[in-house]
Amino acid sequence: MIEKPEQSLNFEDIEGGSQEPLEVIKDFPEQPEARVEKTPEEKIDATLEKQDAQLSFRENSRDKTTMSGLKKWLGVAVLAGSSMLAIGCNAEKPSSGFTDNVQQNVQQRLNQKRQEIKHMKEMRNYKPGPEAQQAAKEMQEGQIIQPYDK
Amino acid sequence: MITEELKQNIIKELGIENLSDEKSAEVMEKLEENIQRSLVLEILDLLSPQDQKELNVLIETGDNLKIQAFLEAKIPSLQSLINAVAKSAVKEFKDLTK
Repeated sequence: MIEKPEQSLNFEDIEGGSQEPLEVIKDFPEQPEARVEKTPEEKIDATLEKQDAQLSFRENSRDKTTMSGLKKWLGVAVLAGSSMLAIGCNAEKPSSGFTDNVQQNVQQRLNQKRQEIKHMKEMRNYKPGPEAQQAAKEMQEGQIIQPYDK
Repeated sequence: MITEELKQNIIKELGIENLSDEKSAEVMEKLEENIQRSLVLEILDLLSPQDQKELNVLIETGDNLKIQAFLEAKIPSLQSLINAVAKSAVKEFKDLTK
């Protein structure tokens, strides 16, 4: 049998009580604001860790010797002088156009010369349209360019 | 070998130009390694268990030319695969660090 408590809570006392905070709470130092936004460096670290964890999970079921051998082959045979990161970034070193093949070399020079002649002809026959004339006028007025005196 | 110009292009493309030189080098190294690991897994996924056994034998010989010939015979689009994996890893990195 459960006995009823002799004294019930007096809600009036609570509601009508003082609104002043307790001294202890008043003196409690303010909490610094919770940080929600990660710094770029933290984001990068988290991303790399995530990629690493995903790869490790997939690698667990693979033969270590095969993977190590393939990695070695990738470094030596496929990427000699290159970088996968460069491929991924579309930042591969552009070709200088140099080739040991004489025929190809001559052909490249011919093509380059043809392009130069074509461009020269286009520039000789160039007549500025109204928009270009207006733009040139505005640039002269704004002293961005000086008029060309013959 | 990555030239300085190429390195700067990569750093810019990855959006990590505000990091210290040391940190950006570390990020590039880890990302490059992740691409390589990812590519190895993709290659193995495309090979049958029998092909993988044959590949193991070739790897033990250490003959890179034979490994290359074998893989190119089994995966004709090997170069496209390398490009796709590298681009995908870089894209994922850029998306997650935005």
